[in-house]
Amino acid sequence: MNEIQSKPFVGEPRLYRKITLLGPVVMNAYLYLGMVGVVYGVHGKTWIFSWQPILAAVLFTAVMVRISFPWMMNLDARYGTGSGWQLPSRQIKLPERRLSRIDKAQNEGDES
Amino acid sequence: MYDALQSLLAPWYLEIKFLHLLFVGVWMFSTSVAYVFYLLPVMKAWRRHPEDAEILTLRNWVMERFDEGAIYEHVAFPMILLTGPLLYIAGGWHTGIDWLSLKLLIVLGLFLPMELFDYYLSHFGGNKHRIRLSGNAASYEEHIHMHWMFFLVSTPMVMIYGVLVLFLAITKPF
Repeated sequence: MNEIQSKPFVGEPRLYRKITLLGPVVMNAYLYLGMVGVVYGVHGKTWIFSWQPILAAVLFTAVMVRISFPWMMNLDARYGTGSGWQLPSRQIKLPERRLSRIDKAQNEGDES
Repeated sequence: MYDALQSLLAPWYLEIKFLHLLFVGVWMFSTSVAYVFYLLPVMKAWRRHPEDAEILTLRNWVMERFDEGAIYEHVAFPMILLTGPLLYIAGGWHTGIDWLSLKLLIVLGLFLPMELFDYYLSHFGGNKHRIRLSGNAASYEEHIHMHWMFFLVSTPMVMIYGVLVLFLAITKPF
């Protein structure tokens, strides 16, 4: 196999914006509604409808939305750390796992 | 049946809790150094220089090593899923305990599906080493990209909800 092969990665800021908005909203809506199901639906307790848990869920979601986008952009080297790294070129050997018997057999099967 | 099991397990509550916490620690932190200090710098270099042949070689190597490095995490997770219900029974817990309900919703709704996908990416159809041996270069590249996108999406979620689950389990706030 030609090991050196690359194609453009699909990740881009607009997609990250969508993910970091929808992810926390969907996740926290699921958690709140799940808690409504258990706390009120199963046990009949009504505290889950008071303003404190609703405010906590909304604030938690807002904070997550606020921090997730720059976090994701940082991870993907769109900005922040990583720009200061040098790339010294070296010729090295990389340790590889030996082929297991199963992998060998599979490989030989593919070749024949 | 449930009462009998509870009577059997109750004397071992603390020992089961020890195992549960041990595996939670392994699950949460076993890949953290490799991820932050080895995988991330290489992946960031790849994202900044996507056509650099030397970086591509290193990217492929580090991803394959990370697939294997996730073994500790992926052994720990089923152990958490085993010891968790044992604790639930031994401790006489029930769904009326609200912090526990929230914790279980996070585990079942986020961590479980996420880990199942991670098993696929690391050890089954998405294992890069095995795909490379099969000679399918397009599939190899596709799975590297898929795994990287998985890391991008899951990292903030795991960090935030992982810490929240620990907080809930330790402080039992409501």
